[in-house]
Amino acid sequence: MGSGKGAGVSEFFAGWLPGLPQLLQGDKSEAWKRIAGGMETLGTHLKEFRPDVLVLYSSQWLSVLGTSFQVQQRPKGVHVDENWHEWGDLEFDFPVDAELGKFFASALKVNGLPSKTVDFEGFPIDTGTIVANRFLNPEGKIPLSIVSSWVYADAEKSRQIGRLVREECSRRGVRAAYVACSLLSAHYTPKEIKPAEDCVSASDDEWNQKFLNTLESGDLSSFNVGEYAKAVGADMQLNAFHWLSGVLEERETRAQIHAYGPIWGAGAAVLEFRGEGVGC
Amino acid sequence: MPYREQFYLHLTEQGRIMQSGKIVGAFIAPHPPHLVYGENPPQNRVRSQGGWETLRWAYERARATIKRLKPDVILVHSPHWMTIVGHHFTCVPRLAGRSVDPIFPHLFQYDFDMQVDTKLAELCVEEAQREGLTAKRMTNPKFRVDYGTIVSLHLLNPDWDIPVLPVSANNSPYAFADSIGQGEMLKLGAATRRAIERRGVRAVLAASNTLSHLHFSVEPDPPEDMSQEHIQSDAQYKWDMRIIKMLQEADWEALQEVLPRYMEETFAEVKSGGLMWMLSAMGFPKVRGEVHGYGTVIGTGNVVMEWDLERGQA
Ligand SMILES: [Fe+2]
Repeated sequence: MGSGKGAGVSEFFAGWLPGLPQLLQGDKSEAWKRIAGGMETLGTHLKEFRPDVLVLYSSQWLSVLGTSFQVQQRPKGVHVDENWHEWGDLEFDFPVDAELGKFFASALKVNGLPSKTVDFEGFPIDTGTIVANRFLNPEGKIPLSIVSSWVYADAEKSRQIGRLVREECSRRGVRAAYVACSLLSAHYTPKEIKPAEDCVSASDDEWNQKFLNTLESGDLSSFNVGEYAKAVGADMQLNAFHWLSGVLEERETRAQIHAYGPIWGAGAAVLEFRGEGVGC
Repeated sequence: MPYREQFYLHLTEQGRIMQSGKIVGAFIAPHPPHLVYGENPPQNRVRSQGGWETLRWAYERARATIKRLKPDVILVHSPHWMTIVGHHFTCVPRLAGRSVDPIFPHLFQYDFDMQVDTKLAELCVEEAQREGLTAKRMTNPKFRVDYGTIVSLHLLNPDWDIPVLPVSANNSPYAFADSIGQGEMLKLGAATRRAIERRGVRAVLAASNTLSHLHFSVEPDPPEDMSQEHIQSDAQYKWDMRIIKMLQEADWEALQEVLPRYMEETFAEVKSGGLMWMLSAMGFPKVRGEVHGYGTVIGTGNVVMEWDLERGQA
């Protein structure tokens, strides 16, 4: 578990970013390069925050028997994306706060939510986690706590999981940075494209922009997130956002938009959430 | 073209005279990792006290058929290699490594080592593109083969002495309407058949699919406690029996009619396209499907079923 050096500090750090291999191929598309640039900025701010742990929710790590938490001490290996395998190997090697993951799993169980810890050599770390970690933790010094996307969680359960994770960190005095790795609209272009011509469809784009404007304003009260998620075929029903909402609950937050653009037709944004009164 | 018309077109078009290669048999080969876990083969690092014997006995009969058919290659279409951009064919001569199931990692940590018929993969890509599909070769030697592919292949041929060809499941059945998604699989099947003919090999096809897919979310301790194993619901069981009867009787029209509702009501994994791919590749033959066995795994319905095309018409 983290050392707890940040105990009692009220600042917080939360973010949102995509995690696809395109982001490591910035030379192929200006849009991908821009998004990657936004992720670098998010990574710089995260480093400045000096967290004990990076709690990362990945929409690409799917779990069925409840929420899973990675507790292997140091996952290391090579992952090849199942779709974009021609773009080389994604090497990974990062520390995990295993003890914290176990606490998270217990906290969920106590509250009636199924959970599991995962500690297996050769466990397939997902593309989202690896790509996000490259930008957020390029030196590999910050321990991660990776949270799966439980396929049977609805918005409410996802929020509850986010809330429980944040409460557990607060209780233990862990200075955590919370980041959700997910797309917004997830209508991929189902064929080969010229990366330079990558774009989000007009209707998805309009919805995404509305959603981002709302997040920027900090007032979600008049925005129907469920309707948006359905309209744009949101990545895992936008559960990553609901999880993040649970993390951020009771805080006045506004999103700072570092980047927005297409990744193979899907909509991707890089966001940073700041609390009222918390300076940059 | 509407789904129904595409379906009938494929029924008639595929009665053509074969060239040198042919499909000699086909299987519905479900892939719950529990079946490998229950068997305790040396490749799996996890040990069990057995379990799911009825399905494993069913696979023993399928294995005997494979030995008798002596195919040159086994092709497998797995929903756990899901691709977004087109249909992918494994095109690396040898793939080896460890595959840990992301869902049931405590049951399946399997050291795989497979020889791939890369020439057939090339031909499949070519023929799929001729059908107007997006198709790609997977040429990365570090690729981690998914557990669906490995489980089905292990259960059909634990000796791994026959070359294989893993085929991805394009996500079109989930991203678009049934007519588009399953329509793509019909074309993929036609392309696969032509590729096999051109390659001149005796091929076996495996649709790596569970039938009804609603399941329990709590696992017993130990997972192989068979006193806890039963179908998730009676409605799901009845659906499975109805579908199996159509498959046995080669009643393809009836199957096509009910498939969308079956997939919706039971979450059937056949939605991922393997079954349509396989039936289309075989040309929807009027051959009786032989049931080797049916069983449940954490509540899902699984059938091991065979079409022996060498034995001829039913
Ligand atoms: Fe499956």
